[in-house]
Amino acid sequence: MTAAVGRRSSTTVKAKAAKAPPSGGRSRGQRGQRGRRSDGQTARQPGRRTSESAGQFGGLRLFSRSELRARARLRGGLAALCLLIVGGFFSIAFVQAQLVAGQQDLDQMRSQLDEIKKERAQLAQEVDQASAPEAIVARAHELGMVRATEPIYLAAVSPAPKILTPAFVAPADDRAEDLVAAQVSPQPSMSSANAAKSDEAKDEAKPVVVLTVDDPSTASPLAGSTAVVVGLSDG
Amino acid sequence: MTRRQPLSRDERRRADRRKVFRRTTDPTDPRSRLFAVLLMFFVFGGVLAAQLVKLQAVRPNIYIEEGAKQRARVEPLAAYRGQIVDRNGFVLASSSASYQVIANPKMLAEEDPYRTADLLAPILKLPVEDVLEAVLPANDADQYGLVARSVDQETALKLESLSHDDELDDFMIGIFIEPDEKRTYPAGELGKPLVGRVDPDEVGIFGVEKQFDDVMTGVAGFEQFEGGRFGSISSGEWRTNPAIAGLDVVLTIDHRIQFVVEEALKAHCEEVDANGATAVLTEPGTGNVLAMASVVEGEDGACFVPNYNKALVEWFEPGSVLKTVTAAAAIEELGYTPDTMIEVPPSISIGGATFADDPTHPAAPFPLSQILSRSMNVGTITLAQRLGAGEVYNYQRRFGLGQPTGLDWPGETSGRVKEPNEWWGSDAGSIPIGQGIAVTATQLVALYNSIANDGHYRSVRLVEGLRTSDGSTIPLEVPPSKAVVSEQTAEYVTQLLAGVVNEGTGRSASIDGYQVAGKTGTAWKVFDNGSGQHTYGTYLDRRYVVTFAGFVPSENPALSMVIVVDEPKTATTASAVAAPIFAEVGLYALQILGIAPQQPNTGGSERVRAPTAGVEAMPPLEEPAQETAQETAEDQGLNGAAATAGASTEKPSSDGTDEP
Repeated sequence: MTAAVGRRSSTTVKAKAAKAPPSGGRSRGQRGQRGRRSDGQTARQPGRRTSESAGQFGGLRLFSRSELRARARLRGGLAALCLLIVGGFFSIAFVQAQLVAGQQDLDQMRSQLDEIKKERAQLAQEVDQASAPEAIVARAHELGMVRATEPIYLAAVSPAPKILTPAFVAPADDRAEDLVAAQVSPQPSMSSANAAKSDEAKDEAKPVVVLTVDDPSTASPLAGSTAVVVGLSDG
Repeated sequence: MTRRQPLSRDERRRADRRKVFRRTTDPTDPRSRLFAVLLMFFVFGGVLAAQLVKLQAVRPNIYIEEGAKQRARVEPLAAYRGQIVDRNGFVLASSSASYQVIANPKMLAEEDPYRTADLLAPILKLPVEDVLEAVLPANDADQYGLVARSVDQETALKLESLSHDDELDDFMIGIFIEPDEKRTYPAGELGKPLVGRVDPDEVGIFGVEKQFDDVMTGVAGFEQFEGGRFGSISSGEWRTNPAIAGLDVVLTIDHRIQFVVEEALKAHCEEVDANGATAVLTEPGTGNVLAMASVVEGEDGACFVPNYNKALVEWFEPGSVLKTVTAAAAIEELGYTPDTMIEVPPSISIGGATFADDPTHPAAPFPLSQILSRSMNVGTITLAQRLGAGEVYNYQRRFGLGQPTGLDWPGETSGRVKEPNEWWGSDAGSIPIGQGIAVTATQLVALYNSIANDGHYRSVRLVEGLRTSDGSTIPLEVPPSKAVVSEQTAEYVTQLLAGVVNEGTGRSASIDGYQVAGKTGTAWKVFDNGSGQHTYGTYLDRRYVVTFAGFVPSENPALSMVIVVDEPKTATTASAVAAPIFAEVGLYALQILGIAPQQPNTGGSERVRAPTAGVEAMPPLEEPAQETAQETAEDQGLNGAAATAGASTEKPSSDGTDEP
């Protein structure tokens, strides 16, 4: 096969070899001309472009520069599109993976929240149980405290607080340890420090109950004290 | 032979075309394969097309629904039962998450249910027999067995770990751990008759749990979402039907006072070997119940908190505490004052029964104040006779006796107040002094509240309101108060009641620093004497119900209380049994309420907090038996002054109370 190139010398020749079928087979062109060609020559089909006009000669085809540029652009566009699609797929996959991971985190946090709620309820229940009067009394007994038989009151009116019996008195809100130190003299005239303390307490004079430590040997923070006053909240 | 004509070109062409479609038996002929492939394409294509039409047009949603069904996950949202809290917010009853262990005996039967029971029993702390009962199939189709309920989280986790044990997991196939709810009572038995209890399905069976079952029961919700192997699907549908939590019930009681009251009742009940005891403490101004406690004696002699609220479901004949009503009616209707002198005979015979006072006295004028402070039967009956049966009945009703208290308590009794036309025999003598009439402890406290509340009756309240999940409280309607007696009358009656505590039968109810106003009552109790006849018994087998009702401080009442002790045996008078409990409990309650003492004790020198067993009865006033009165009268040379009460054969003799 000879390629006629002399007529369009300025045209870049692009030879496109026709794909030869494997031995014994026939090319697509041959198949299309089965029964009509036997000489192995490519016949000119009526109504089809001539090899000259198409720039195709035998297995070679000629392309103009603009065609080639267009094809290159097309190829570049296709490649970009493919990249875009692949990139899009990866992006979607990434976002999806992130969503799944986030959802798992969310599920885990929900589960944790449930657990914490249950734990909170459990702890609240334990606090309630520990706050029950029976539990408090039991704990007080463990600490060696007994119920007062003679409550002491601070008179909240002037002229002078009347101390009904010798005991330890203090504002209701003080801690037991402080209360031990707040011993008031049984004499009607109170020491100035305690009198001041008493004055402060006058406005909110609350009834108090004396709890005595009947067994000083008891291993408790109050062991050794002879008596303490525990203020009661007025609820 | 005819020579065949050669075919024209067109004819040959047509013949060639026919040959193409001519059936051939040649297996190597590609046309047959081509035909088969085409046919296959057409068949499969047709099937595909039909399927597409079916999926897209006929039943377009079938696989969408199926898929959604497979992805759908439903998580139940628990609606916990409302709490019961006291006035300070202390939790008396609450619900929390727990688990129930369910067995599928049919599945377990494929392995070794006995081994399963052995594994479960120690963890659940149940006898193996009990577990076996649940895991062994009752029949071939048995697929449900409840192994345990109210299982805590720790135990549930232990059970779950068995399912993950490679050696033991086979025995756990068929054991399911489902979420459940557990009702807990942090304060244990405290206020049990009041708070009530629920059954395993958390339905109230008595107490407030029953009364407010509807409002405390929540409505469970659910969360529906799309889930996969790794949890929920983020883009999937998520629908939440929120649970509606039950409302909390806020009681008016104070758990600290309730505790002290219950402890005091238990101690005194055991001390005097009583059948039981009841106490109701309220704030007179509002009618709010501060404590409502009941104890009963067990077989071992120890007293314990029962399941029923004696203060509302049990009636008793109150005895002399009801003389207050007669006195109030006399002041209101007859214009008497505490100083009005009433001519009191030594005894009165009505309907075959003779009523006398203890100690007996000759006919003499007594001031009204003394009639009440000495709890004189004859004096009170004299007042009732001047009032007439109609007025006595009228005032008993006006003070709320014989009617529901308004608490709408399940099983509450109204007691019984006889109408005047029902009075017969000795009723005219016994009813004004509190025998032959049935009341509850709660009715009594409402009665005394009326006196403390300037003559205005107000129903008691046990529930302050309902609390929503956001913490806001819906207050319950407060019933309006109604005037029963005038303010002046209430003031006079208060003076009379203070006199009872200061110098009468109620001295052991006095509290240092506070002026107590109250009244004792030692009533004969009706009982079956073994012959099927209900009677008050005789001197030898008489049984008593002792009561103390009153309020404190008398000037500006902050606390009212009724103490009832049923059949005390080692001491049988109200002054020795009920009044000391009043003082003991009252002191603590006043401290809790923040009521400072106003004055030194005006009620005498006796300290009422001494052990009850050591409290000596006041002989002249406290000796209960009329027989004793008879003996006393004889000793004093007053033979015939106090005749022995004649016991009726048809009805119990209502010849007065032991405590005059």
